[in-house]
Amino acid sequence: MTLPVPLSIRLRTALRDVHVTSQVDDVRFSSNSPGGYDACQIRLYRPLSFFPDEVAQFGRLYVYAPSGLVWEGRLQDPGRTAGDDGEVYDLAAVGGQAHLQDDTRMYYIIDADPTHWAKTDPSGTRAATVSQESDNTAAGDAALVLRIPQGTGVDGAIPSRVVAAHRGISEAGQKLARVAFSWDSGLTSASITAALYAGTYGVGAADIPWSATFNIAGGTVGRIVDPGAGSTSWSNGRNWPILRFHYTGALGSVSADSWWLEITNLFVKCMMFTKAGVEITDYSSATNLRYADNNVYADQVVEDLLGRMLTATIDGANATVSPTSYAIDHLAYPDGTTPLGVLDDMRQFESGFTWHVWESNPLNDKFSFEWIQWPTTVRYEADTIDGFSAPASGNTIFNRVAVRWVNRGVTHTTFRTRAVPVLDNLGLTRTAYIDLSNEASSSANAIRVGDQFLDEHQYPLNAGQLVIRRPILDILAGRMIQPYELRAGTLIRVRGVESYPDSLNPAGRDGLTVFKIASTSYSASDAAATLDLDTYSPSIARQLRAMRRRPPRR
Amino acid sequence: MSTWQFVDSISGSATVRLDLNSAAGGLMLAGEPDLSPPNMRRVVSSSMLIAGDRIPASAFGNRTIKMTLQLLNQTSADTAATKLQALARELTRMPVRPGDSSNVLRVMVGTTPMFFRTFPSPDLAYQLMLLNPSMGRATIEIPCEPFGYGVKETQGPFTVNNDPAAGSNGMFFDLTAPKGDVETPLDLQFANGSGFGAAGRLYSALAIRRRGTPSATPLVLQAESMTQGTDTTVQANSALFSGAGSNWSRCTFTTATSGQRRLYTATTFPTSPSLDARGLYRVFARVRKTVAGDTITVRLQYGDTNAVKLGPLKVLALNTGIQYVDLGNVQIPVGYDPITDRAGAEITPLGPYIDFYARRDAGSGSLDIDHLLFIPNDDRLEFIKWPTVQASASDTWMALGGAEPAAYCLDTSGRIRSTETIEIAGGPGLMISPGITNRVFFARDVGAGTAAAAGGDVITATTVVTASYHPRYLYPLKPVST
Repeated sequence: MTLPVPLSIRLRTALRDVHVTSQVDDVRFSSNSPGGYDACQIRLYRPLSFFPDEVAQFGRLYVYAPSGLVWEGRLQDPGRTAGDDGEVYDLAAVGGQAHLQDDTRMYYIIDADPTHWAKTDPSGTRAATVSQESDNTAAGDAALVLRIPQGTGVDGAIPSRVVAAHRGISEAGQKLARVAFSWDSGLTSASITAALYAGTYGVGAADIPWSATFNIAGGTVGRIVDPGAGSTSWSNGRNWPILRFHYTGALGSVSADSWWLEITNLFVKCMMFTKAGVEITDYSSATNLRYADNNVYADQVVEDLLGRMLTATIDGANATVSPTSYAIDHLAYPDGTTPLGVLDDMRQFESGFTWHVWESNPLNDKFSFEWIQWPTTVRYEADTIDGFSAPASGNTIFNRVAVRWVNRGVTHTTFRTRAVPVLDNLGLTRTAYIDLSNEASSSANAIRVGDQFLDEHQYPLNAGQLVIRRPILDILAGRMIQPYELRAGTLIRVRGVESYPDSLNPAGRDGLTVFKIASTSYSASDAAATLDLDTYSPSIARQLRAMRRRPPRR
Repeated sequence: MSTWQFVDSISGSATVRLDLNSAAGGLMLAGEPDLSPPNMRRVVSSSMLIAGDRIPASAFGNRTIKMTLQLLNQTSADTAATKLQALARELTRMPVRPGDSSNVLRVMVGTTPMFFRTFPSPDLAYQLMLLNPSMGRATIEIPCEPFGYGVKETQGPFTVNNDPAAGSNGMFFDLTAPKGDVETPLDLQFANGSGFGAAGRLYSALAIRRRGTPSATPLVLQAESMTQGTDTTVQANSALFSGAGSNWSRCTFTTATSGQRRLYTATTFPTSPSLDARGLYRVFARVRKTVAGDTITVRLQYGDTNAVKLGPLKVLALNTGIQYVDLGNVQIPVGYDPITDRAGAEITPLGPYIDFYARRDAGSGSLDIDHLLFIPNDDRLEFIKWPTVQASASDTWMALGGAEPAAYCLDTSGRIRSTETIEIAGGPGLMISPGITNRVFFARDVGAGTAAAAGGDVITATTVVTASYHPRYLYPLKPVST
């Protein structure tokens, strides 16, 4: 009786759909979390004199076991070699998660950075200025200030005016959903009118959802898109928010430095999509909070990514997107990002969550997606007898973190601390450094990210590995599974290491016997799955990938 | 005298390409040829944590046939050269597909032949007799596929009923005592008129059970035999559904549209404990919606009396055709299964309790449930998506088993026909074991394609299947009839 590994390998292109199991000399495939199906390599023996129809960039590669699909992705590098091993196609395929890097674009969800506003309208008053005052208050709140300087000649017949606009939304191809701010002015005057315009860049007249004459009492404004709300709103499709004031009085000059309009707590929010790709337009619904607040939640952002950027490749309609709780008050990518970059940022806000791209839905050929909380129940049980390591370096423990963030034109650093006995008892302070750049950066966001980081780093992060070469129990499914069926993104209880009764009732990874499966890698040549526990084991390849993902500092 | 010949195929009527053991032909075996079985390749797992090694995977390597041939009856060095050239050409015959074997060596020591598929990469030696150049001796080592093959064996045709409650061959057929030493790929031929080419594309499932008593494999759990849960009642007989008497259940969602237990077993499934119940099963529910646009989601739960294990949630397609919906895998028994005790005796498993849950998220219609189908998938399970267009009603359809499953269409002359791409998911393909009963399970249509395009799965449909295989042998001496 032989025990061949019962895997079957299928290649599919538009021209050919075949199983090639007997023509490959090995298969290795992996999954990771966050990520899902990661990579797969096979060596296919075919002559190089013609290109086989079943091999093509972005063709599909499937690996099946009797119990079902165990890996799926797209061919990326059909590398051809000729040498001592004959003529060989070294096929490298990547899981559906690779599609998260297909699209780099400007992306605005909610923008609280007044530096993204600039003076516009060349026909306006030349001497007028638009400036950002970074630390308008002791709390560091910034202001957008529109001003006609003292001594400037003004004429209501022109009229004299100063105009500031946010160009990014139109350049990103997005639409305006909400504008909110507080305002103040340097004088009270019925001859000077402040206003919010909602225009369409380069097209026709704008809607004017708010206007008021100058009053030193100021006020607070919040307006959302709503075609049915009349003059206090704007029609769906506007993409060019404008703040301005203009003079309606007689010819004269500005006699004092009081012709200014100060805008604080400025938020601009964009139209969003459901995960199924439908633009959210129930503006006036009493239960719809999507555009009613000056923040967004990570799950809303994830749904927007699915419905906006990934509709061609990811099955958003059937995706699992679990709700999150932290309200993000600034998320804008004026320098461009990818869905992967956004998801990386979302995990900084919600470190208890992860995401995966798994197999495709046969009904639409799109990859399945899930944004879920890390499970708190153990799924697998395994022993150490096939190989185990658990290096847990003190280098991963921190009791202080510095979060750099850039907003409103100023670089800030927010420090957060956490009681970590193993450091505190020795009088040690270890400070980690996180760079939020100017994209997901606000005071509140920095605090959240810092605290989430410290939550994850108060105990040493395991970077170990577990090798599995035999069937183990899948507790959730209630069945024994083979090593090639293991998936990342779950918890595993490892027997044979120090344990305690609570490990049978864990609330998550404990660093002793219950671990997160950060990645799995299966090789048919040695019939073994290697699991990275809690975090990726150190490797040059992973470091290079991390460096590639890291955005340049701005 | 034994027969050693290169021939054109593995067939009782194969054409001889070159005779290697015929004085008249000019080549004779000299000495004792070596037909030893192939070496085994093993993955060995060991550590200092456990005594002994494990072998989690193993597979035979290629066989190498070694023989020495004597040139005989050659009139000159020139005729000897011609004979050697013929040998060289057979040894290096080019395969159609690079990497494949390219020739067939027929060896008959007893009364029945055995065939070896040879690769065009032999090791050669030649001793030239200078005093008589026509009397040279060639030593050859030919790499071959691991096993010797017998001629094609067929069983059937079997008329497979698409009703798991049918009196005979209800979604299965049995292959009795296949020949050979070791397992071998199973090829299936589906006869014309079997409905392949249906609108919406048939999506067939093929699986196999080849241990214990395959006839005792649990296969179906009728809805009407289960305890009826919330808003669910047994309905009067319908010829559209499986089973006798009141043979299906309807869930109306009248009192609750949320996820409720609509059907469940009051005892374990199967009712009687059995060694043959052990295994992994892919469970499909045969269902029908009464309103196409309803959004209905179903799920299987299983386990102890509380049936706490959750299968995947499945949303039914937007049509009213009868269709199987895939509810995921269930292992019997649920949980740890060491299979044997310390004495090596197999432990009898009790089946799990089965609950069928359904919810209606939108709509007003009902859900009709016929049965739950348990397809064993701890050995082999593959799905074949047949073409929509059948060029000729007399075409037949082939499904090849083994490591590289394939499916294609043959015309009445046995020629392969170009078709719409046939897709195969799952695998590896079916293998059968010699000397025992192999039960092949065939679910004709477990996809949603025909339900969307037409009426869906037809309980009265039949499929005529002929099974064939080439028995495979380790040793070169082959029994006459097995």
